[in-house]
Amino acid sequence: MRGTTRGEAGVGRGLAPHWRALLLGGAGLALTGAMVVGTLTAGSPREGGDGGVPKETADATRASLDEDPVPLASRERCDDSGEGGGFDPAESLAPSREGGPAVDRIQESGQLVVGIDQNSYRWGYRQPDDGKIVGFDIDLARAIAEDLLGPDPDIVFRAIPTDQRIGALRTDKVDMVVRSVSITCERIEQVAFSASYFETGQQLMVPRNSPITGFDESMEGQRVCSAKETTATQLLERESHGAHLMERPNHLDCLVQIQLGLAEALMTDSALAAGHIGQDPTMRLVGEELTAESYGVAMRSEDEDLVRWVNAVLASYQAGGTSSRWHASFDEWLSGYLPESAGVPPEPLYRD
Amino acid sequence: MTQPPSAPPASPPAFPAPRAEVPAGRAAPAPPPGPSAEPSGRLAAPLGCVRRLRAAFGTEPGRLRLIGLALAGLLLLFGVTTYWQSADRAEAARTARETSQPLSRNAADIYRYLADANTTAASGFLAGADEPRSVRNRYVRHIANASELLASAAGHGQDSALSAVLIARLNAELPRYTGLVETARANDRQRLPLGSAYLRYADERMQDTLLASADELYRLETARYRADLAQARSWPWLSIGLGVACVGALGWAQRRHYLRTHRVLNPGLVAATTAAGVLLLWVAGGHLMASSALQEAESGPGRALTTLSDARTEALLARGSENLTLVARGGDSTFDEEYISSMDRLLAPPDRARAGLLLLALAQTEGESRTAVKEAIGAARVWEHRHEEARRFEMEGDYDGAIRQVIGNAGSTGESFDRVNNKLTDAVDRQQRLFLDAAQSGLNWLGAMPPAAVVLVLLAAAGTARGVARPLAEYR
Repeated sequence: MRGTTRGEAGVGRGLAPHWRALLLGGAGLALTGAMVVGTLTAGSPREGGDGGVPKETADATRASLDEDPVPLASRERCDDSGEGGGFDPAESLAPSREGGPAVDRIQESGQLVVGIDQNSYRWGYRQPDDGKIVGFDIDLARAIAEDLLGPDPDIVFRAIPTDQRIGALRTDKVDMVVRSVSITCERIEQVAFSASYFETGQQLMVPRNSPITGFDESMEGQRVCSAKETTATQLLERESHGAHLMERPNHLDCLVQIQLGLAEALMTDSALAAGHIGQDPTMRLVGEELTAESYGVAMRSEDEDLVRWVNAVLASYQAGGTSSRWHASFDEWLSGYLPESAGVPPEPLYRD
Repeated sequence: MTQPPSAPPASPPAFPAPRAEVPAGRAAPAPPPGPSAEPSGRLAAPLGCVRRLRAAFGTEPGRLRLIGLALAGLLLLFGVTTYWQSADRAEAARTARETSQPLSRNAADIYRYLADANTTAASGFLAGADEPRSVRNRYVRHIANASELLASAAGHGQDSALSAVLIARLNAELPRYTGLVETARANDRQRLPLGSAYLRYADERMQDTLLASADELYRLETARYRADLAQARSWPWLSIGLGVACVGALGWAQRRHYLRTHRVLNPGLVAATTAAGVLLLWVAGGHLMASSALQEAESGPGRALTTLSDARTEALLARGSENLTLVARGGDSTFDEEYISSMDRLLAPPDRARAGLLLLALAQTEGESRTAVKEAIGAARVWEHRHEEARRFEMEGDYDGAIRQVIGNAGSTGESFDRVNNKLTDAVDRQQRLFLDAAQSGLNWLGAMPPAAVVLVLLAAAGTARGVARPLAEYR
């Protein structure tokens, strides 16, 4: 279970007209997207492998983000009192390896305690044969630990439930959480985030032969599953397109429901969808991304020195284009499950 | 009518004929003039009948005949009612022993096998490819046992629509459950976290559908067993009332006889009174015995049995939650909360609003059962301690250490759970035997009652006939 617990402030007010315009704007894109997926489905046996957002659609989505004042996949803005006001929650502190009390504490203890997920395929999961925890999130956590503690660091991976990601930090159970946490306005009130390390958005996911073509009328009468208390659920509650909504504790539980024929579609973010496609190659993403969200490493608000240090690590982790460590990790865990367009590290935003 | 219209040849005419309207019968053996109410032409005409009836009331022999008739009728009614009511109760006692008790026990076993299979499935899942053969066998055996019992319950449960529905639901859900467990295993072997999601869903189906239905079935069958027991020991008011009426009427007849003849004893009536009295005492005493034996069984071993069964179920649920905490791989903290509340229901100290089931059981048992419960409590405390160790491993990120601590061999929480489970099963079996013995002991009194009722009532009726015929003969 993941995602934001609140909707986007930008979409929140005066929603209906925005939303409609947004959907109308996206309809054409959705259509082309569906067509592309359709041809892929028909033509290629390895469709399951890259059955994510078709490249064109994703590119178009990004393009619309840059140009359109009413982006298709709208970004949340905090303190959004007026037109274009407020700030992006993904803005973090400028990178620095100066250190401070938090970094000292970790370096003195010689141990980094990281809150992770053990159930998120391709992001953070346990390999049953050797019991090692691996994934895209885990690579990043290791990189941070190596930078802080030197080679072969002592990392404690502590599995934490979705609903305790913030609480584990605030009660000092972990030093940081690297667990596909979206940066939201609500969360930055409680914890600090690093700069973004992955961009994603909510999207519908269906089995290969599903008649559902996107977040539209094709959902009518279908059972659509989402994880409890997530952005996905909020989106569906706002506009269900006549679908029957079903809530499960975890997005993976939704995949179980689909496989058992008890649901026809699930809504989650496209990054986690990679894990679903990895486990069931007959699943595919349809329609366009409905939100734009950033994953960040969560830390205690007072550990500003640590946030800056992690941002410095991220900057070097993501530097070097296709030869960056970020890209190597993407290649190992996510390429083949996500469109190649997703294989570009996000531009960091700093507020100072 | 058993009353002889013409008296048997009264051999010793020792009785003086009671004189009509003369309370103190004189010693005059003068036979009264031929009684008007003769058996001949009894049904000649309704009018004649009425006249004769009136005449019969008018004369002593007529009254005697009526009294005899009424007494015999009352006695027969007493006998028939007693036969019917005690046969009914003996039948209920037999049903309780031979049908509803085993059915209730079957239902309890179905629940336990299912819960155990679910717990074992989670243990096996945690072990993954290293699942010991014994764990797999235990899962398979419990599923097989449960479906076997379901099949036999389906054969017995025809008489209740509700239990048939429950059994049908259980039969339909069980293969679905096993399918989910196998899918979970298959996915897990492909290294997919989806396996754990499948196992959690299987657990959800087990809790919400299978165990819920099995629990309902158990309650239903137990209620039926209790109802049979209650029926077996229900007080036969009609029979007792009639018995009291019979003894009273016989007493009145003897008093009347005494007042008229100043003879203290009429042997026939005395014999009849004795027979009726014995039957009355038997009915009342037998039911009293059965009732108090059942009362004792229910308040003693029965209550302990319920507590112990609940404790065993709670221990199974705690173990299941403990396993699923690890199956969820830290993705869900509700399982650990469930474990904690289950253990609390087992071990809560007595000063709380509700004392722990194990401590209650300790107070309710004695002898060897008590020893077993004591050992179970000790093992449960060790279990709690070991569980904390396992949680600490998990918190420190040592997932494999946590798994070893939970499903390993010596020193694991699994070892402690097995010990708790075995000790409780031992105590449950003991209490079950005690309860059955106690509950059934009282019912033995009821079994012999129907034939006794027949014999004693016939005796009483014969005595009455004789007791009435004697004085009647003296009027000849």
